[in-house]
Amino acid sequence: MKENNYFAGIDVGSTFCKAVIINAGDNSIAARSFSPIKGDPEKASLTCLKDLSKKVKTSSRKLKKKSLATGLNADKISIKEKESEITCIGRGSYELNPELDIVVDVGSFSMKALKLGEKGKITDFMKNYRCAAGSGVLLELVAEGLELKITELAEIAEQSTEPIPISSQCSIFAESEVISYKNEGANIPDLIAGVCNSVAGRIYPLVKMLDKEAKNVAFSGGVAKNKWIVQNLEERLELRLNQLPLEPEYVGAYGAALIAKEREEN
Amino acid sequence: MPFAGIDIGSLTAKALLLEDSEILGFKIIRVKKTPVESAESVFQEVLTQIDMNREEVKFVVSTGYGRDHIPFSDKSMTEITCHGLGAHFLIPSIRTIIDIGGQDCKIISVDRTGKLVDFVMNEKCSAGTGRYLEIMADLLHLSLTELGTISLKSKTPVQLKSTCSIYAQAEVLQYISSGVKKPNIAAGINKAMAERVYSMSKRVKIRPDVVISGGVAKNIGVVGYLEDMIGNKFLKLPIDPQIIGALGAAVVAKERYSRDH
Repeated sequence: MKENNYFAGIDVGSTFCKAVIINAGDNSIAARSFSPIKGDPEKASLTCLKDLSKKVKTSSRKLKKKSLATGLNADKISIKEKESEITCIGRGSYELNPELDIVVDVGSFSMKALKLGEKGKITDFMKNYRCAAGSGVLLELVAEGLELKITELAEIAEQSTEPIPISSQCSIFAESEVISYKNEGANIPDLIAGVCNSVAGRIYPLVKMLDKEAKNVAFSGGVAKNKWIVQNLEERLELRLNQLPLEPEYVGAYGAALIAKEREEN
Repeated sequence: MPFAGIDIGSLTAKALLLEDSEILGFKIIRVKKTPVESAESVFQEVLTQIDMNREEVKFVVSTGYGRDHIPFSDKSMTEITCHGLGAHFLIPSIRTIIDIGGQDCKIISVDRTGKLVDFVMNEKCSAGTGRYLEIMADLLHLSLTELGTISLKSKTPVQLKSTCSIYAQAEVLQYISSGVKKPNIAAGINKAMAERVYSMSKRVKIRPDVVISGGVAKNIGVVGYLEDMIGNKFLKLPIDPQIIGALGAAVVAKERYSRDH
């Protein structure tokens, strides 16, 4: 029997390493893995590789040679093949839905939007370079400050009747603002809904600046798991976001695996 | 006749009592839950300290971010104006004040009389504010003062590429986990902080004599780097630099009262 032909994409972000392994035959996902970075991107990427290789019963050394790295910390790990996040997100989302006009990706530190043209070619993009405002770090800070889990925020926000607007732009100042509201006795769901709205409010202009007429928009990255932010962004854009058939934080890693395969084929 | 200045900042609350040209006493406390509580307690503490009744104080001026919420204040004044007047009261040759607070950073230019000429202020971004240093000191398990002293031992400061406090924090964490020595990290932090403040001086000219105020003045690392960049030594204020705003407020109180009586 011929051995399965696998390729791996490793997305080494600011907080988590996300990894995907694909079957070369049909580009389907054979396994996924993730590991927190905790100041050591190399270790996190190797943990993911080992986990993946165990899941598909291959050697992690072999798999490493068929891997491609992307993400903020990609240059800090030993996997040789690398590609930018923008390209990987574009490739991954195009494979998941060839009809997309725009993909917005919001991770822990980064916020970007890319415009897809014919055959998934990236025709334009916008990205935050110097400032973390609008990225998921605010959700982390607020969750920590209110002693909640980040995954609980959207659900708590559902109980809000009157979201409290957050005026600070800087995530550090916004967190302080939230804590002072809390100390003044503000309603917690209203506060969390306000925080989520402020994140959505920073994502919205990225989409609009890229393409005013965008119809098919997808949302990837860890922040896309927050249902309240998704809803609020939909309201602002006056459209329904396209649902990708993959957990949003793995889109970049999936694209990386596809590019790994395509590089070997060429 | 005694006059009071109250400065309610984002991290600390300050109160000062002034009589003629003499500072009777001052107090700095960590802020309470609300500006009103902070103002009440810091005012009471300074009064108790010099054994004075509240009724003896002729006029109270409040300043700082919480200045408009203080019930016993007779007048409120922006911190920019108060800083200028406070520094001028102590050193009349002052023309530039660099003030770095917990949530903002300003460069204030004044004339011979201490009156405001021009200023530039950053309150939108935590980089270049005291908050930046607080976060970094926490990461290194150092006090704000230690963050300054320890950095003097460094010959090879690390280079922080990011401006944003969040991104710089991640850079610092990676330096820590890769075993870089604390003095080198601390020096890199202080240098980045000084660069951020210096970049603001493109908007307002820095004329000597220059003084630095706000809590960051206690970090000798930042002060040293900034002096090198500007090419001038800062004059030292003959008082805790954090109290300048409250002092300026008390000066306003005194002037206002004398004008009306």
